Amino acid sequence: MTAAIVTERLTKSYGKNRGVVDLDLEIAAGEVFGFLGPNGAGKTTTIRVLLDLIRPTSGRVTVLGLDSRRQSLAVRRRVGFLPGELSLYSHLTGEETLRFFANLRGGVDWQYVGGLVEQLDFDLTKKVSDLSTGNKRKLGLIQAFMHRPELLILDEPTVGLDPLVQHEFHHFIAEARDRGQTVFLSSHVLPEVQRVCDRVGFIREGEMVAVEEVSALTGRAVRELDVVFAQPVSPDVFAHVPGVTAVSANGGGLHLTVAGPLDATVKKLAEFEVVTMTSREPDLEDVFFHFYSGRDRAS
Amino acid sequence: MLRDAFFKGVRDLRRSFLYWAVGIAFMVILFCLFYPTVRDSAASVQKLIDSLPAAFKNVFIGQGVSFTSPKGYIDGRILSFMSPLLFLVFAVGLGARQIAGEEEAGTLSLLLSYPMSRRRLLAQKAAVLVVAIAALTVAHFGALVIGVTLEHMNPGYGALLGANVDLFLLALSLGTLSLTVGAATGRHGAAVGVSTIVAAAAYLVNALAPLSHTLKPLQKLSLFYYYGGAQPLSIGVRPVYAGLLLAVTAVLAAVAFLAFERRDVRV
Ligand SMILES: Nc1ncnc2c1ncn2[C@@H]1O[C@H](COP(=O)(O)OP(=O)(O)O)[C@@H](O)[C@H]1O
Ligand SMILES: [Mg+2]
Repeated sequence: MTAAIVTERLTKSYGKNRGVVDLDLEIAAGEVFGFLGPNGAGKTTTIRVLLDLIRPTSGRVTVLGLDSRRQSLAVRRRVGFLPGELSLYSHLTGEETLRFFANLRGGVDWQYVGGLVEQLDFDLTKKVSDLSTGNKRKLGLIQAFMHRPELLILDEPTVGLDPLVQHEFHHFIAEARDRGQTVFLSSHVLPEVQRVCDRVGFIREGEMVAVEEVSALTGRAVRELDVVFAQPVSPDVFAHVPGVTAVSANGGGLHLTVAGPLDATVKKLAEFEVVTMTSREPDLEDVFFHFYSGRDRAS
Repeated sequence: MLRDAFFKGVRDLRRSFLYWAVGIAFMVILFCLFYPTVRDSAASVQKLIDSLPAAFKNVFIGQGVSFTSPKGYIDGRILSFMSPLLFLVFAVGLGARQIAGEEEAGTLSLLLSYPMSRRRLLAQKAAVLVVAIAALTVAHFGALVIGVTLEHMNPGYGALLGANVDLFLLALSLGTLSLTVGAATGRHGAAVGVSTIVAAAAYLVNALAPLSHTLKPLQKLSLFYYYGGAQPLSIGVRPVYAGLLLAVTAVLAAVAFLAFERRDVRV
């Protein structure tokens, strides 16, 4: 089976600015691939090259086995795209928007589109200018899926959406995988990628840092815990608990960084009187730091 | 109506086009209705005009024509300044909107992620420009015919049609300049700015050339020179000049295709 996307030493410079540098990427047909990196890493740049919106400085790119430049029309026929900064025609209604885009594809199966609309509970009669961010994005998602493309390219599809809609989107994407569609999705938040993707590629400062199976990653997820105790507890107590990579006093409590399963930490916490505990996902840079510094030590 | 980018472009224009067409027709007919007043006090009007500074007269009325004859009046009041001005605002704005406007609004990336070559998109966008300017010319011509008929001005319908064809070609060339700058840069402001400067310079050079030895040789570089020297009825239009305007448009369009094909689309 031909790979869905292959980039070989893809480089894009914007004058003196770095876009991406020597990027190698291979995405198999049928997988959901998470393209993960902080803002400015080069995710959008890569995606725009795939669609021939911008031209690489050097390197080779094939999409669905086709050359991304010479055979761009054939590529675009088989791809659905949701841009990161989605702009739609504000004076059209949702229905008019879909009709226009469907016409550009020479027609679509309206029964299928109707199903998508229903599933997302989207109101086709409203003007785009009257839609909320979430509903605009839903319309963007529908136009990307409307022709049952083999490959979906979604640039940060859920950023800025409320959790409920995010959840809907994740479900939508999972169903695409079940139908056998390939999904290439960029994101700057790890939990999202963990939730919906099979594999994840880390990009930072224009360079591909690593590609991992998501299953390999979940076991090593990193969390920050803030715990407040009824009585003061010394940080030293947690210093040697398995999984805890850092601990510091924080006001009346402790701040813990835990990699991998939380079990040992929770059992240790249970020895004390806990008043409150909050957990949050660290930002991506922290994940990189923990994930890779951890692995360097191991190897 | 949303069959492709051309039909959508025409559809998007419906309302604003109506305003433009009605406004221009209204202006044209109003000026025609004023003609008898001017004609009946021909001597004093002509004396007033002759007393104006030559530069002012050339820029705003026309060059050394009899303002009180029907042809001179239509040129001076309508065809030499007002109509080109309105047509250029319309054409330059529309030309800039086609690619650069869509790019700055952020919709171009999504549009070009569909299976449509840039060449085809540009052709459809250019077609919107041609059709819109042509339709505005029809409205303008129709209003002129009504106006001159009502006031029995009788400038010759053939000459009137020729003048309108030239006006169309002039507006099309500058509208295409705007489209081309927009397609090459993706910047709406640049498209409008460059085209406006070129249009204003062309107009002034043509109007002031007869008064200045320095400008005289430049007159033939002005697009307005080929629009009957901005007095299409008095001076008359020539097929060769019309062809020249068309050639300028074709060259600009070719540049647009080449530049748009090669460059990166902005986010
Ligand atoms: N049109 C452009 N001109 C100059 N620099 C750009 C342009 N587009 C992107 N960049 C730069 O390229 C880098 C990657 O940007 P981008 O691909 O948008 O990142 P991401 O999508 O991962 O947030 C950033 O440093 C950005 O400043
Ligand atoms: Mg981005």
